[in-house]
Amino acid sequence: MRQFMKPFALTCGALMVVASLSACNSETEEQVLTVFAAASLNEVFVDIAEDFEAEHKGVTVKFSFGGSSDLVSQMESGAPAQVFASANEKQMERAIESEVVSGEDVLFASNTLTLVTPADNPAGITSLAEAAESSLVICAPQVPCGAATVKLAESAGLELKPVSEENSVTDVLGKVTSGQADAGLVYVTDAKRAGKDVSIVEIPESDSIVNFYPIAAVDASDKLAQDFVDFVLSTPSQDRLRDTGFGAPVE
Amino acid sequence: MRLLSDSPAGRVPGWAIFPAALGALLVLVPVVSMAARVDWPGLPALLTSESSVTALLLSLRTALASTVVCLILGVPLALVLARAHFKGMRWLRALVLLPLVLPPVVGGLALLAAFGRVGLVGQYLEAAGIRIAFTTMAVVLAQVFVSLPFLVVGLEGALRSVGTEYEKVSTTHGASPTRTLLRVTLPLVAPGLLSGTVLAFARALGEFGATLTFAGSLQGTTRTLPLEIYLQREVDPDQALALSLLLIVVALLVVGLVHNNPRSADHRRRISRRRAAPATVPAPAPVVQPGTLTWRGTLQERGHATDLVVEPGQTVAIVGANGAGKSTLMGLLSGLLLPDEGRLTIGDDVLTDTDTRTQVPPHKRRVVLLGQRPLLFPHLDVQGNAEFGPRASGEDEPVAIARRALQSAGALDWAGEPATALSGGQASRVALARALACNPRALLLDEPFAALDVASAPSARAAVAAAVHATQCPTVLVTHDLLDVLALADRVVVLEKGHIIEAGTVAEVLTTPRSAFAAELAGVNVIHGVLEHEGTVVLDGGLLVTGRQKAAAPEGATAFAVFSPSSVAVYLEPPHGSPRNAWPVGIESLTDHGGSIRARLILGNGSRIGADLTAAAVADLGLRPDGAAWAVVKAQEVAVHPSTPL
Repeated sequence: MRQFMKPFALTCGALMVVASLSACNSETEEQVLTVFAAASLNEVFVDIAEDFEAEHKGVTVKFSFGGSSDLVSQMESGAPAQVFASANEKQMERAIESEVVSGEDVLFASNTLTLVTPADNPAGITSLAEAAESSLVICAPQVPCGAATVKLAESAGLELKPVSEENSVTDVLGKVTSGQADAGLVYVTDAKRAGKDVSIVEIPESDSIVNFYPIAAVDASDKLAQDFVDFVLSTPSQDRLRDTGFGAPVE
Repeated sequence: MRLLSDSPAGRVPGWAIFPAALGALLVLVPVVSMAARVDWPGLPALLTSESSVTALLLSLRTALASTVVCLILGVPLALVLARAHFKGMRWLRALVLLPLVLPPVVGGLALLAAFGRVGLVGQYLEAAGIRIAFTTMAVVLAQVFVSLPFLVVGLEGALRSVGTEYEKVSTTHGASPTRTLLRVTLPLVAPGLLSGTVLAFARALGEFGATLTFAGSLQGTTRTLPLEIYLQREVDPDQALALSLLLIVVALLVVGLVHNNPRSADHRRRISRRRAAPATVPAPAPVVQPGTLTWRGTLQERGHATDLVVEPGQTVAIVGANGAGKSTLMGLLSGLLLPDEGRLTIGDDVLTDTDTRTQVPPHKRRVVLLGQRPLLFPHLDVQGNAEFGPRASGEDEPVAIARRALQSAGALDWAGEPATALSGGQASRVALARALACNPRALLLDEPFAALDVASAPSARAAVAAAVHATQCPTVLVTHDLLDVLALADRVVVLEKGHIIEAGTVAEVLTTPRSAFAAELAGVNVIHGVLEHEGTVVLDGGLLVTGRQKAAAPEGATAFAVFSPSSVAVYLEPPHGSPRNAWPVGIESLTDHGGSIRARLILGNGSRIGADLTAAAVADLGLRPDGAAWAVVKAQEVAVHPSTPL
């Protein structure tokens, strides 16, 4: 028993020391910024946050990535967000309407759809029309990427007959990379992120359908949050966004 | 309003109520809160939208289909897990239960890897033109994957708690393994099977992650209610809430109505209670005739080697200490155990012959085993129990055969009673009738009266004796009870360590027991030694026992002396004069023995004898366990028997 208790007591002691140290630190300049961001921003926002932390000593950026509508629901239920970056304008409007976001929203990036196939493109697909006849997976019309897909099909004058309508781009991408589907419609950024697992088929129709990403400080008076919003709009951050496949935030 | 518990012994400790209530609230509060948020006036419209109805119907259809698949695969799986013994069993169980602890998404990924278009199995299915991906079949597959363990776990537990005793009865009463499964095992575990099935259905109904990952989401094909809820949440939280409520109501209905009703099983049983009086068709003549039972065989693993001959209508009592091999012998005769070497015939029928690799399975032997407990099938009434054997062997008139058997066992009066309503004595008669209805070649009785009270045992014994006489079955009776031996047996066989150490007629064995066990059974003392001269036996260590010799034998022959415990006197000093038998003894124990005190004494050579003393004598002499004394027996009270080879 004593042999067991000894390390246990030591651990407890150590934990108490750590706890008191961190308590001391929070009284000084240490600041935490909580950012709620759309899942598609995951890797690039982490990089941008590192740059931001380098410029703002003592600031730690924490992220909650998720579906934009999930994030709005969480904020409506009182989740402690300081910055909200949405993957579409509709969810930002919803957040402003329900008064969880009071800061001014600005567009900071755009995204377009593209056609992807498994790396070896087993069905030999070269166009959206061919994809429409194959085992095609798209986003459900209820989610942002699906809404964009519907517009894309309309502008191309095609009737898509998907074998599945997924809840998120990630699910569409998963069906394609695993070879379940012959083709899928996903955002350019997701296609880039999937790398060698997929082949990108350029489709001219996609240029007309652009999805814009707005960002806002949750509280208009939150200086640090507004700094982060401005930082995302700055040139170095915009360059990072371009590198990962995001388009410019202008129509 | 009932109290928490009717019996003080089963009362819930007071402190348990607080965490119990907290646990219930943890589930209740979110559900109620959700119900409070539902847009009730708009509910009908929300629930009857096309996509909702489609999703609900798809969910019900797929959950039903996967429950059927779970039953087809899960029942045999649970049977194997509960009954079979092989290496790697633990790992098989762990594997089957894996989906319980696996995140459903991981399950979906695993299914993709196996049955996806380029999966390990899927690529061959694809080549054969079978595509699972994005079909309703994929939904069912995902649901089976996650819900199968719920059925298997519930059923396996039920199977273990029911045990194999009823199955043994069923097998020796003529039911094949499949018939035993369908008519005995599954009805017995019906509550466990039902709750396992309902849980599996409920889990299938709620399945989300594996379906989304593996099957995709398309209205009418793969988008079940949980997927529809998840999707609607994106655009219409009201719709999602309404659908969630619907899912909860459906799940509650299923689980609440079927699973959570302890009375439902009893209720069904009561309804099934019997039908009109059975028709009075004459019972057909027996199909097999009794013959002589002859057995000789070995089972090395238990150190068993026995041989036995039982004539028709004769009863042989098998006695011996626990672990002497009595049950093994019964197993070998009934066919539940396989001998390494051996041959069993009854009349002209060869039931076991290792030389010709003959082994008639237990259910085809017509060698019926009756155990200590009657083990009437609780899901059948008395008549149904008696019909079990003839139905199992496909007789034409099972009802008439059952009636005749019930009549000859004196149990016809209770034919319409549920088997569970009988007293111990009644149940043992019905068990006898059930055995007789099988038209047995031989009867195996394994302590059939041990569980009966003193009042009902004599009539049960009489019923067995009458049945043996009427059927002329060779009968083997395992017992610890002298009354059973006296009332039923013609011969006695004493087993020790898997071997027969003594055999003879009841009179021979009880009056001149050679083994300690038989002597104990007969209530007499037996001491083994070597004949020194006429009437005197010398023991190891030189002690002499003198008595009246019962048969001629040469000096130096082995012999044994038999005398009653009541003929043994005990003194503290060596007796004066010269009584013929006076031995120094150690006192091992003193026990009450029905009005007298039975002293267990140890002789110098380690033999034990009993002495019946009055309480007054014990007190006068101040006898104590572990004390020393002298035992004295008059020579004319001692019978000396030369040993005869078995």
